[in-house]
Amino acid sequence: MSSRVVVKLENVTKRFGDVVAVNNISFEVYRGELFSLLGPSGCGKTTTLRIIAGLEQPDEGRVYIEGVDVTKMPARERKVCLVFQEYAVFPHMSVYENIAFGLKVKKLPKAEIDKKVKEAAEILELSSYLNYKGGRLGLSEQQRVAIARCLVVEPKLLLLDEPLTLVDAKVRERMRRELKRIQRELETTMIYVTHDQLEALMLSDRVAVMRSGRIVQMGTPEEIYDNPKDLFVATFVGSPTMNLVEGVLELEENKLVLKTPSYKYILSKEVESNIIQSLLGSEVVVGFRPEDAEVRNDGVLEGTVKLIEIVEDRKILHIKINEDEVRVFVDLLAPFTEGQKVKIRINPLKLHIFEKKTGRKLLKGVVSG
Amino acid sequence: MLRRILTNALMWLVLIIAVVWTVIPVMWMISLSFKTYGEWRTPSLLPRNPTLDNYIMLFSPQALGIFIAYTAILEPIVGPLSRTLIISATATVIAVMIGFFTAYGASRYNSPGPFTLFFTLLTRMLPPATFVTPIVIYFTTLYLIDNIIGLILLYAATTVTYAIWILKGFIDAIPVEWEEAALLEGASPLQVLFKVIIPIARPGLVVAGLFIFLMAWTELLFALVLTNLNVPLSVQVSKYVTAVGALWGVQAAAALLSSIIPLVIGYLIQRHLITGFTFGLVRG
Ligand SMILES: Nc1ncnc2c1ncn2[C@@H]1O[C@H](COP(=O)(O)OP(=O)(O)OP(=O)(O)O)[C@@H](O)[C@H]1O
Ligand SMILES: [Mg+2]
Repeated sequence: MSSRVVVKLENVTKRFGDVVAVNNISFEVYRGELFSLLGPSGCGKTTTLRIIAGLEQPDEGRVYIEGVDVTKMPARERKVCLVFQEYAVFPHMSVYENIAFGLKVKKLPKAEIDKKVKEAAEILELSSYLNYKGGRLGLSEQQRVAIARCLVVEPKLLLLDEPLTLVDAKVRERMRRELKRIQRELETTMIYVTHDQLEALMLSDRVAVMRSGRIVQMGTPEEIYDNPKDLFVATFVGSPTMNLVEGVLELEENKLVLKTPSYKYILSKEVESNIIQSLLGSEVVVGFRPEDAEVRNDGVLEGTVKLIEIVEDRKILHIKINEDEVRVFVDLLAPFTEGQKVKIRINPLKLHIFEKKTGRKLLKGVVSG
Repeated sequence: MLRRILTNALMWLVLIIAVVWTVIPVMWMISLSFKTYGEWRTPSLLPRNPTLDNYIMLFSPQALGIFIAYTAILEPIVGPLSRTLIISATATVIAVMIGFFTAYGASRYNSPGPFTLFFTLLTRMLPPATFVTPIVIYFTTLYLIDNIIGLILLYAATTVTYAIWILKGFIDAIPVEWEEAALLEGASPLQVLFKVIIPIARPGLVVAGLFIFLMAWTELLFALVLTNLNVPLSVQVSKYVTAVGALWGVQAAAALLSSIIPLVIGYLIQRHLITGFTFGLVRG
């Protein structure tokens, strides 16, 4: 095991009665890395964190911290800190006492405690709240206090369980940036749990996407976004979600065609037939992201604009093509109207083809150039 | 408009009746405690010749020379008063302590099982008189009759169930994450207990303690049966009116005295009581 590895999980499984909360999970997190566990509610993210922290015993598998097997080590000896999803702050203590808690129980000298508390408060912009009672704070301050409390004890590993979920949207974005800055500055190793794909993609060095207790895919945000391993990851990551059309792939005059029960879609004009051969005739789901298609006059697919949405600095056209509806990004100022007929072209390099039965990715990109 | 006035008037009427209902007997008691012997049986609310004789008699029954025949059997009230203070305070501390740890175990580890906890209510499901005979027999063999330790143990045992149920509610409301966070920051289990759980559960401890203290303070049935010379306050108060004679004024003074102490305690901890009763509403 390389010394860069701070934490390593090896085939960890945890059951609660019949529920397999965590199912044979393995991963490593490197020093100074921000690693995210991303997945829908109930997929086992919190349980995974609690196992690493030692608050939950795995039924199977081992946990290593800095190369030492800590599977049986009590939580308080692991030097791992966890910022909880809720209830982060002691209500009966002031912000100062909250941050100082972990130092006081270690009986550090008063002056040193004071210095560390004030430093942490500075970093998390809590200096003006130090005398507030924990229970009187707003949620975003509470979360910051919780983070400060963990930072002062200088853990080997900082675990964050959806720390921004309860914070209102405006503050969330700023805190996300702050968190990233702090993580970079202090070179803290962090495992960040979230069900917000955007948050995971923005913050992380690496992301593990979880589903029903398993890790489905692990990689950099770019890998996860550009090269999802299956339909679940493809649709879970990205907003608006990937466009999907079901059908059977066929080749007609060297054009790749997706045949649905009543229609034929020409997906691309040219195909490298040798890649495709094995897929022909099988039931597939074809997906492409809204930014990987364009509206243009020489497009091969024709449809009608049903709805125009404005999202930040772009427009999303909801285009009805035969029975399917797809979403395509266009410029904010592009002059489209609802009901208008348009043609779109999908970037054949960015086509994802999944097996319908299993959701498994079969192919990405049907043509070179 | 008329309806509003009527409703208001009705509300006030009900309020006044309620206040009179509760306050009049207390007023009567206060007035009686300041009346002279000859006036005890007159129904006037204000004493004609206010006197402190009844109070003096409480503290030194022989001082006034009258009523010797009756008061010879009575000791000065300081004895029963201090006995009851010791009994109530000790029983409260024991019951709250045992109750706290039981409630904690029940709340966090679901031990000794959800059903077992109901057995602690068993002693409260039957009239206390049912237990008198067995208790008298056991206490006789254990030399606990006429012994304040006997009453302490009995009160602690019979009230612990209240402590358990009150405190379990409070501890259930404390998110386990607070304890876990403290552990992860390096606190020992004892530090978690004293720095996190007990301070947060304090209103619950106060509520349970006050409740149990009052029960022990006012208990009469067992005290009457289990004591002879070392009587607690509740028994002493009842003794002023006996078959031999009725010292109404002295009894009123004793009753007043015995209700003032819980009142003072209640007043001193009312701040905790208020947070205690609203604990479930303030999250975090
Ligand atoms: N203490 C427990 N007892 C029983 N079942 C549990 C317990 N903790 C978690 N589970 C179950 O394990 C599964 C995973 O839960 P977990 O809390 O890890 O999910 P999560 O990914 O954190 O979800 P969320 O996004 O809702 O926080 C869920 O089905 C949950 O009901
Ligand atoms: Mg969770």
